[in-house]
Amino acid sequence: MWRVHGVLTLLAVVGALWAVFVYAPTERQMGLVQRIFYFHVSAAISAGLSYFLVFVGSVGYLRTRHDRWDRLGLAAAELGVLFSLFVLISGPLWARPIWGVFWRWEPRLTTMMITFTIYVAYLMVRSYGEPGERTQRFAAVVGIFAFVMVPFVRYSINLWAADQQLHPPSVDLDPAMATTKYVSYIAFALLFGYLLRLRLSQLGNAAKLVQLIHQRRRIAP
Amino acid sequence: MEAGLGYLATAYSVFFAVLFVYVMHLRARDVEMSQQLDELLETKPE
Repeated sequence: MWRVHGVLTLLAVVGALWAVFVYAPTERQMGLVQRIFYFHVSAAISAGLSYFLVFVGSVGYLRTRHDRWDRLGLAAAELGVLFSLFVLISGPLWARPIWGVFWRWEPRLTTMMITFTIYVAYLMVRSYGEPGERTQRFAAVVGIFAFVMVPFVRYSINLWAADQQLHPPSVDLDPAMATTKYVSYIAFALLFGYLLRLRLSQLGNAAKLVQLIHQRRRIAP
Repeated sequence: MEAGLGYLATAYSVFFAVLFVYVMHLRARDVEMSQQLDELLETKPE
Protein backbone atom coordinates (compact mmCIF):
# COMPACT_ATOMS: atom_id res chain seq x y z
CA MET A 1 0.00 0.00 0.00
CA TRP A 2 2.81 2.41 0.89
CA ARG A 3 4.62 1.57 -2.33
CA VAL A 4 1.52 2.11 -4.48
CA HIS A 5 0.82 5.41 -2.75
CA GLY A 6 4.45 6.51 -3.20
CA VAL A 7 4.53 5.61 -6.90
CA LEU A 8 1.19 7.33 -7.54
CA THR A 9 2.42 10.45 -5.75
CA LEU A 10 5.64 10.51 -7.77
CA LEU A 11 3.74 10.07 -11.06
CA ALA A 12 1.21 12.75 -10.11
CA VAL A 13 3.93 15.25 -9.14
CA VAL A 14 5.85 14.59 -12.39
CA GLY A 15 2.55 14.92 -14.30
CA ALA A 16 1.79 18.18 -12.52
CA LEU A 17 5.25 19.58 -13.33
CA TRP A 18 4.77 18.63 -16.99
CA ALA A 19 1.28 20.16 -17.07
CA VAL A 20 2.37 23.38 -15.35
CA PHE A 21 5.50 24.02 -17.40
CA VAL A 22 4.75 22.37 -20.76
CA TYR A 23 1.03 21.80 -21.24
CA ALA A 24 -0.54 24.94 -19.74
CA PRO A 25 -0.44 28.07 -21.91
CA THR A 26 1.17 31.26 -20.64
CA GLU A 27 -1.33 33.72 -19.25
CA ARG A 28 -1.49 36.86 -21.45
CA GLN A 29 -1.40 39.61 -18.82
CA MET A 30 0.68 38.10 -16.02
CA GLY A 31 2.98 35.99 -18.17
CA LEU A 32 5.27 33.34 -16.79
CA VAL A 33 4.78 34.14 -13.11
CA GLN A 34 1.12 33.10 -13.27
CA ARG A 35 2.31 29.48 -13.34
CA ILE A 36 3.00 29.80 -9.60
CA PHE A 37 -0.82 29.79 -9.26
CA TYR A 38 -1.11 26.01 -9.79
CA PHE A 39 1.12 25.10 -6.84
CA HIS A 40 0.12 28.09 -4.74
CA VAL A 41 -3.60 27.25 -4.76
CA SER A 42 -3.00 23.49 -4.42
CA ALA A 43 -0.83 24.11 -1.36
CA ALA A 44 -3.49 26.42 0.10
CA ILE A 45 -6.16 23.71 -0.31
CA SER A 46 -3.86 21.15 1.34
CA ALA A 47 -3.29 23.58 4.22
CA GLY A 48 -7.07 24.00 4.63
CA LEU A 49 -7.52 20.24 4.62
CA SER A 50 -4.78 19.91 7.27
CA TYR A 51 -6.51 22.42 9.52
CA PHE A 52 -9.79 20.57 9.13
CA LEU A 53 -8.02 17.37 10.23
CA VAL A 54 -6.57 19.19 13.25
CA PHE A 55 -10.15 20.08 14.14
CA VAL A 56 -11.33 16.48 13.63
CA GLY A 57 -8.40 15.10 15.66
CA SER A 58 -9.00 17.62 18.46
CA VAL A 59 -12.73 16.86 18.73
CA GLY A 60 -11.98 13.12 18.55
CA TYR A 61 -9.41 13.40 21.33
CA LEU A 62 -11.66 15.41 23.65
CA ARG A 63 -14.49 12.90 23.11
CA THR A 64 -12.51 9.66 23.45
CA ARG A 65 -9.13 10.59 25.04
CA HIS A 66 -7.46 8.19 22.62
CA ASP A 67 -3.89 9.15 21.71
CA ARG A 68 -4.59 8.20 18.10
CA TRP A 69 -6.77 11.30 17.66
CA ASP A 70 -4.18 13.46 19.35
CA ARG A 71 -1.50 12.20 16.97
CA LEU A 72 -3.78 13.00 14.00
CA GLY A 73 -4.16 16.56 15.28
CA LEU A 74 -0.42 17.02 15.75
CA ALA A 75 0.58 15.49 12.39
CA ALA A 76 -2.07 17.53 10.53
CA ALA A 77 -1.02 20.76 12.29
CA GLU A 78 2.61 20.24 11.28
CA LEU A 79 1.61 19.67 7.67
CA GLY A 80 -0.78 22.61 7.77
CA VAL A 81 2.03 24.90 8.86
CA LEU A 82 4.34 23.43 6.21
CA PHE A 83 1.85 23.90 3.37
CA SER A 84 0.88 27.36 4.64
CA LEU A 85 4.54 28.32 4.60
CA PHE A 86 4.68 27.20 0.96
CA VAL A 87 1.66 29.43 0.26
CA LEU A 88 3.14 32.38 2.14
CA ILE A 89 6.42 32.11 0.22
CA SER A 90 5.01 31.43 -3.26
CA GLY A 91 2.33 34.14 -2.88
CA PRO A 92 4.72 37.11 -2.45
CA LEU A 93 6.92 35.78 -5.28
CA TRP A 94 3.86 35.93 -7.51
CA ALA A 95 2.64 39.25 -6.06
CA ARG A 96 5.85 41.24 -6.56
CA PRO A 97 5.71 41.49 -10.37
CA ILE A 98 1.89 41.76 -10.49
CA TRP A 99 1.01 44.06 -7.57
CA GLY A 100 4.39 45.76 -7.36
CA VAL A 101 4.88 44.74 -3.72
CA PHE A 102 5.67 41.47 -1.97
CA TRP A 103 2.99 41.97 0.67
CA ARG A 104 -0.13 44.05 1.30
CA TRP A 105 -2.29 43.80 4.41
CA GLU A 106 -5.40 42.96 2.40
CA PRO A 107 -8.08 40.55 3.77
CA ARG A 108 -6.90 37.24 2.27
CA LEU A 109 -3.23 37.77 3.16
CA THR A 110 -4.00 39.09 6.63
CA THR A 111 -6.38 36.25 7.57
CA MET A 112 -3.94 33.69 6.13
CA MET A 113 -1.06 35.13 8.19
CA ILE A 114 -3.19 35.15 11.38
CA THR A 115 -4.24 31.53 10.78
CA PHE A 116 -0.65 30.50 10.16
CA THR A 117 0.55 32.10 13.40
CA ILE A 118 -2.28 30.46 15.39
CA TYR A 119 -1.22 27.01 14.17
CA VAL A 120 2.42 27.83 14.91
CA ALA A 121 1.16 28.66 18.43
CA TYR A 122 -0.58 25.25 18.49
CA LEU A 123 2.77 23.58 17.73
CA MET A 124 4.44 25.69 20.41
CA VAL A 125 1.84 24.50 22.93
CA ARG A 126 2.77 20.95 21.96
CA SER A 127 6.51 21.58 22.21
CA TYR A 128 6.63 23.58 25.41
CA GLY A 129 3.96 21.69 27.35
CA GLU A 130 4.79 18.72 29.57
CA PRO A 131 4.17 15.49 27.65
CA GLY A 132 0.91 14.03 28.82
CA GLU A 133 -2.84 14.28 28.99
CA ARG A 134 -2.99 17.91 30.17
CA THR A 135 -1.01 19.28 27.21
CA GLN A 136 -2.95 17.08 24.80
CA ARG A 137 -6.23 18.40 26.18
CA PHE A 138 -5.08 22.01 25.99
CA ALA A 139 -3.77 21.51 22.45
CA ALA A 140 -7.11 19.98 21.43
CA VAL A 141 -8.95 23.07 22.69
CA VAL A 142 -6.52 25.31 20.75
CA GLY A 143 -7.00 23.08 17.68
CA ILE A 144 -10.77 23.53 17.81
CA PHE A 145 -10.69 27.30 18.33
CA ALA A 146 -7.99 27.77 15.69
CA PHE A 147 -10.27 26.26 13.07
CA VAL A 148 -12.62 29.24 13.46
CA MET A 149 -10.11 31.23 11.34
CA VAL A 150 -10.22 28.90 8.33
CA PRO A 151 -13.64 30.04 6.96
CA PHE A 152 -12.44 33.64 7.34
CA VAL A 153 -9.53 32.86 5.02
CA ARG A 154 -11.78 31.08 2.53
CA TYR A 155 -14.48 33.76 2.47
CA SER A 156 -12.31 36.83 3.13
CA ILE A 157 -12.96 37.96 -0.45
CA ASN A 158 -16.71 38.16 0.22
CA LEU A 159 -16.56 39.38 3.81
CA TRP A 160 -14.63 42.61 3.25
CA ALA A 161 -15.29 45.49 0.83
CA ALA A 162 -14.17 45.02 -2.77
CA ASP A 163 -11.92 48.11 -2.69
CA GLN A 164 -9.76 46.42 -0.02
CA GLN A 165 -9.20 43.27 -2.05
CA LEU A 166 -6.29 42.30 -4.24
CA HIS A 167 -7.33 38.68 -4.75
CA PRO A 168 -9.96 38.23 -7.49
CA PRO A 169 -13.39 36.88 -6.38
CA SER A 170 -13.38 34.28 -9.18
CA VAL A 171 -11.09 33.30 -12.05
CA ASP A 172 -12.14 32.11 -15.52
CA LEU A 173 -9.52 29.70 -16.76
CA ASP A 174 -8.70 28.42 -20.21
CA PRO A 175 -9.60 24.65 -20.41
CA ALA A 176 -5.92 23.64 -20.48
CA MET A 177 -5.25 25.81 -17.43
CA ALA A 178 -8.25 24.31 -15.61
CA THR A 179 -7.00 20.77 -16.35
CA THR A 180 -3.54 21.73 -15.08
CA LYS A 181 -5.11 23.11 -11.92
CA TYR A 182 -6.89 19.81 -11.23
CA VAL A 183 -3.75 17.76 -11.97
CA SER A 184 -1.89 19.93 -9.43
CA TYR A 185 -4.67 19.47 -6.88
CA ILE A 186 -4.44 15.68 -7.25
CA ALA A 187 -0.62 15.73 -6.98
CA PHE A 188 -0.72 17.84 -3.83
CA ALA A 189 -3.52 15.75 -2.31
CA LEU A 190 -1.49 12.57 -2.84
CA LEU A 191 1.66 14.22 -1.48
CA PHE A 192 -0.27 15.49 1.52
CA GLY A 193 -1.74 12.02 2.15
CA TYR A 194 1.68 10.39 1.96
CA LEU A 195 3.29 12.90 4.32
CA LEU A 196 0.41 12.57 6.77
CA ARG A 197 0.65 8.78 6.81
CA LEU A 198 4.42 8.96 7.27
CA ARG A 199 4.15 11.43 10.15
CA LEU A 200 1.40 9.37 11.82
CA SER A 201 3.61 6.31 11.55
CA GLN A 202 6.55 8.20 13.09
CA LEU A 203 4.37 9.45 15.95
CA GLY A 204 3.04 5.91 16.41
CA ASN A 205 6.63 4.69 16.75
CA ALA A 206 7.36 7.40 19.31
CA ALA A 207 4.34 6.17 21.31
CA LYS A 208 5.63 2.57 21.05
CA LEU A 209 9.00 3.72 22.37
CA VAL A 210 7.34 5.31 25.42
CA GLN A 211 5.36 2.09 25.93
CA LEU A 212 8.59 0.09 25.73
CA ILE A 213 10.29 2.31 28.31
CA HIS A 214 7.34 1.86 30.70
CA GLN A 215 7.39 -1.89 30.12
CA ARG A 216 11.11 -2.14 30.90
CA ARG A 217 10.78 0.05 33.99
CA ARG A 218 8.08 -2.22 35.39
CA ILE A 219 10.25 -5.27 34.82
CA ALA A 220 13.50 -3.75 36.12
CA PRO A 221 14.26 -4.64 39.75
CA MET B 1 10.37 28.08 -24.61
CA GLU B 2 10.09 31.61 -23.22
CA ALA B 3 12.84 33.17 -21.15
CA GLY B 4 12.74 32.20 -17.50
CA LEU B 5 10.39 29.25 -17.90
CA GLY B 6 13.32 26.83 -17.93
CA TYR B 7 14.71 28.28 -14.70
CA LEU B 8 11.33 28.14 -12.97
CA ALA B 9 10.72 24.57 -14.15
CA THR B 10 14.20 23.53 -13.02
CA ALA B 11 13.76 25.16 -9.61
CA TYR B 12 10.44 23.41 -9.00
CA SER B 13 11.74 20.07 -10.33
CA VAL B 14 14.80 20.22 -8.06
CA PHE B 15 12.61 21.16 -5.10
CA PHE B 16 10.29 18.20 -5.63
CA ALA B 17 13.19 15.80 -6.35
CA VAL B 18 14.95 16.77 -3.10
CA LEU B 19 11.66 16.50 -1.21
CA PHE B 20 10.99 13.06 -2.68
CA VAL B 21 14.47 11.73 -1.82
CA TYR B 22 14.22 13.10 1.72
CA VAL B 23 10.75 11.62 2.26
CA MET B 24 11.93 8.22 0.98
CA HIS B 25 14.86 8.39 3.40
CA LEU B 26 12.48 9.19 6.27
CA ARG B 27 10.18 6.34 5.24
CA ALA B 28 13.08 3.84 5.19
CA ARG B 29 14.12 4.93 8.70
CA ASP B 30 10.53 4.72 9.88
CA VAL B 31 10.13 1.15 8.60
CA GLU B 32 13.38 0.10 10.26
CA MET B 33 12.43 1.70 13.56
CA SER B 34 8.96 0.19 13.46
CA GLN B 35 10.39 -3.31 13.00
CA GLN B 36 12.92 -2.87 15.80
CA LEU B 37 10.30 -1.55 18.22
CA ASP B 38 7.90 -4.39 17.43
CA GLU B 39 10.65 -6.93 18.09
CA LEU B 40 11.62 -5.26 21.36
CA LEU B 41 8.01 -5.07 22.55
CA GLU B 42 7.53 -8.78 21.81
CA THR B 43 10.70 -9.95 23.58
CA LYS B 44 10.48 -9.82 27.36
CA PRO B 45 13.79 -9.01 29.11
CA GLU B 46 15.00 -11.54 31.71
